[in-house]
Amino acid sequence: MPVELTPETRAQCEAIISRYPDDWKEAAILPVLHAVQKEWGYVPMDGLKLVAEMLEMPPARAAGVMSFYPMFFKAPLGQHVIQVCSTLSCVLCGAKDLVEHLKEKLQVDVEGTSADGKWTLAKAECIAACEGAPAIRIDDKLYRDLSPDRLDELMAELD
Amino acid sequence: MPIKECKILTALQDVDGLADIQVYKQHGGYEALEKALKTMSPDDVITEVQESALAGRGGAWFSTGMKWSFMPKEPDGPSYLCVNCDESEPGTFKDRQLVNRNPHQLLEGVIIACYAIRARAAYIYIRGEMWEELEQMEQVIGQAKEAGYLGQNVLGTGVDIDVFTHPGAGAYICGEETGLMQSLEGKRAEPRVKPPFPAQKGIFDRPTTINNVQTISYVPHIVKNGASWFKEMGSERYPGSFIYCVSGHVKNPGIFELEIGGCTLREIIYECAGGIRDDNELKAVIPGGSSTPVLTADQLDIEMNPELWAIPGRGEFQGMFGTGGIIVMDDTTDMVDACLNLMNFYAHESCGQCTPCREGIPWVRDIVWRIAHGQGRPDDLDTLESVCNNVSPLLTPAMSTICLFGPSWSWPMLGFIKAFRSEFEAHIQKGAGVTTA
Repeated sequence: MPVELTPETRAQCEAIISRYPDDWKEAAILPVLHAVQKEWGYVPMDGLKLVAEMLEMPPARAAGVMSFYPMFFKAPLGQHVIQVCSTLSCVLCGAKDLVEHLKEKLQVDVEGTSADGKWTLAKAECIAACEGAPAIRIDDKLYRDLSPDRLDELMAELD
Repeated sequence: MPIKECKILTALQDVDGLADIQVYKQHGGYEALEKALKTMSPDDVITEVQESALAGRGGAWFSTGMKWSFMPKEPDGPSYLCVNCDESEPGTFKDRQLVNRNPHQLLEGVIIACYAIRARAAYIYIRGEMWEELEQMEQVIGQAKEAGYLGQNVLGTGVDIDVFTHPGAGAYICGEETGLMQSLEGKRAEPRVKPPFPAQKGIFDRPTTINNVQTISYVPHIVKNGASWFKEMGSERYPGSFIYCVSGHVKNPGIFELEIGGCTLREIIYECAGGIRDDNELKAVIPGGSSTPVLTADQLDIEMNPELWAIPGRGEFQGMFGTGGIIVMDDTTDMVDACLNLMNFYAHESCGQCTPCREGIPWVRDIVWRIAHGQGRPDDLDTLESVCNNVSPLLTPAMSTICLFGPSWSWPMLGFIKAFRSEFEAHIQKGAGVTTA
């Protein structure tokens, strides 16, 4: 389990913290958690303690904040996370077909990770790309106007 | 009569490379900033914006200039600007386009706004799902700093202004302005009770103004061209343009920047967005993001002028104007199913702070789920109405929650029942539902 950050990530965290007033270090918790999660893929308990230490806040409070925000993960996920937007505009335009296709293709349920550890399937709430419905995110990237075929192509490119 | 486009914010939408400061400057970028900082006092800028009657496009339509005037003129410490780029209202996607296509336009507005309200720094709160836009915004901030438009002694005026991005992490409630402030302070985004208002005590206990991306993006244009130019467009009370986002069962989904007033909801759907896919019949329209009560096919001739709508105005039309997020549904749509989809969304996003909301929305979702799945009970609609009315009755100011998230689900729920009661009743009677959401 990772317990130390690379010097680069640590420097990045320090730079983030400097954006906020000196006596409000914990304001940096969301960007710092994003940076930490980028390095480790998730935020383990020891990592959260490290974050709390950097921000000079009690670990319990840091845990309370982290658990409020759905984008932070307490356990490792697949190499790539596919989030299918499942709010109304995307569902009207075929998002459910994408979810069914992925369940079948990866042999997983929603929130599951494929046996080879490559793909995690998740649903997302509206991702503000309704003109390109159905839209998905793979890791940090947005893709619009998906169909099961187009999704297959995309996954082959990323694999 | 064809609809007149009114491209202020989207005028350069098709220009490539606008995220490069040189390209932006070739198109007149940062001229407004130079004008404001070199020829106008902060109060001149506030007066210009106040005279333009620019109103907040986040949905409240409050006068931007007036909001700015609440900020201290001689602050005894730092004041702040927060930019709400946490666009998460289902059906709304204009902020993503504005930030993606023309990020310097937003940044120029942010710097001018900081100058006007005497803010030491601005935080642009960008939802975590817009990571590509966030990274681009950081580059754009770097370019502006290098050009002397940001940082210490901006353009030699002796004024210091910093702009930072701040990523969200997937919580819809951060779009509520006091939830956003909580989140920016590194807390759970549980909205605050007002007063104190942000201009008195906002982020870091300091005076703060919160503006929406679209609102701020107008600022360079108003400063450059003057308040009277802005007032030539749109309606008298609400001048200028508005960006509509059309999605769902239309042939040509997308964003359309039009004058406020001067066209109807029907015209936007059939002329701008090309009408209904497969030439099906239109069945229902959510006019301004998922929190606005659904309308039926016979209600589309209403003019798109907020003054005429019950919310935010006092208009006679019993609808809510909202965010411009128009979701169109054709006659293949099961309305109980559509309703369930949205109630799932709200149940997922309640922050859990107020009991009527924390307990009410999962209850509502569960009832709609069983109606959709053929297990509805005869008194279900009465129960739904009772739970919702206890949170906030349709289009009324009464509410039992700290923030507007409560009405954001009770109104659309009541709206679905009002508009499509017979469809809900048929589901309950038949005991045969469609299972999708």
